[in-house]
Amino acid sequence: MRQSVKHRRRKIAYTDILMSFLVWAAAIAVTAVFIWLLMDLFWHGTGKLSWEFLTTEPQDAGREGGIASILVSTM
Amino acid sequence: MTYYAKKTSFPQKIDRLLVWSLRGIAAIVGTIVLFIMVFLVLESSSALENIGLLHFFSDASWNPGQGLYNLTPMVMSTVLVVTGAIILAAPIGILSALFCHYYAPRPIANFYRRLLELMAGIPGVVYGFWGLVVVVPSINRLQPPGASLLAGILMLALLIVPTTALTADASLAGVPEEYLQGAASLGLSRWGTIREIVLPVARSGLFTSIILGTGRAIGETMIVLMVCGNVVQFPNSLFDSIRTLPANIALEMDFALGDHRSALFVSGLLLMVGSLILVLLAEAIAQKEIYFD
Repeated sequence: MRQSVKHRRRKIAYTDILMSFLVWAAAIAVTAVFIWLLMDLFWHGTGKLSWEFLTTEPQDAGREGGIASILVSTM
Repeated sequence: MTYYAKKTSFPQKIDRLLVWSLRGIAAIVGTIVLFIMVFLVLESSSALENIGLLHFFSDASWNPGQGLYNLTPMVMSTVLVVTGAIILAAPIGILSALFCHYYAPRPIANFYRRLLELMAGIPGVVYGFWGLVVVVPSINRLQPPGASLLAGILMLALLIVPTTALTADASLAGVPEEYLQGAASLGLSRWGTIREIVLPVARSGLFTSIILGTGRAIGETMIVLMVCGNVVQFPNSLFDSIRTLPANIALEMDFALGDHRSALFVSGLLLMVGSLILVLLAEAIAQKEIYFD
């Protein structure tokens, strides 16, 4: 014998959807800021990067020349 | 229960060699830390005798040239900038950890974890440099001067998020699989499982991650030196320039003499006491494992 089936309105879990949104937003925000930082560094930096930059000494208090001795000290 | 070997059961010579080497190294490290603390106390004792602890909080201002050593504006600025950074970074860090474990598909979660590890490895100086070149002028357009408490809070939060997220991630990985399976069998939703099962179980680990982040933020010198403006004052709004205790030590140690130098050691001692309180807090919060094999 077929039982009568009660249909119930599906409850929407609003908190779940909100938390999903927040979690994804946090992850995307962090990634976006980091990529912004990296892009800025690359954009302004790669133009100056060259072999002689890495192997010559700083001159004129760092305004010209390279970073060879500073790089060696850091390493 | 897990079985632990008795500490005295080292029959092999190589075991004994290893154990005593490790004990020796631990003793050396402990002694170095003790020496640092004793040195701090000794160096600050002259200022504490000549000037007196009360004057460090009740003088007119911080002006060592005239013998005024009020640390309160700088202590307040340090507390404010660290609190602001934690308020921003703790939720984002914990949400990031939840993202990696419960919301993201496996390849995205792995990519995000590598990204966080990369961010954690970047030295603070790079964040300070970027903050100086990008964030400070942006805030300047909103409200001059750009070098402000807000810039410090933003850059410190950016610094702390990876450490907090990675430690929280590790503590979330310690939630037993059985608990999650039980929650699934009960039909709990994803956020329901997280709120009712995961967060209470991982609570001490999450608090530890926040405290670790606070500890890192308190000591961070270069960022606050570069983006906060270095004016000794009580900040009346988010856009005021401030100077924190670590930045003060870094700025003035080069040319400080006598009582001034000793006063800087007093501020270092204050920072050390603050870190000690944080560590004790972390110890108090950390629970023993609440689940058994």
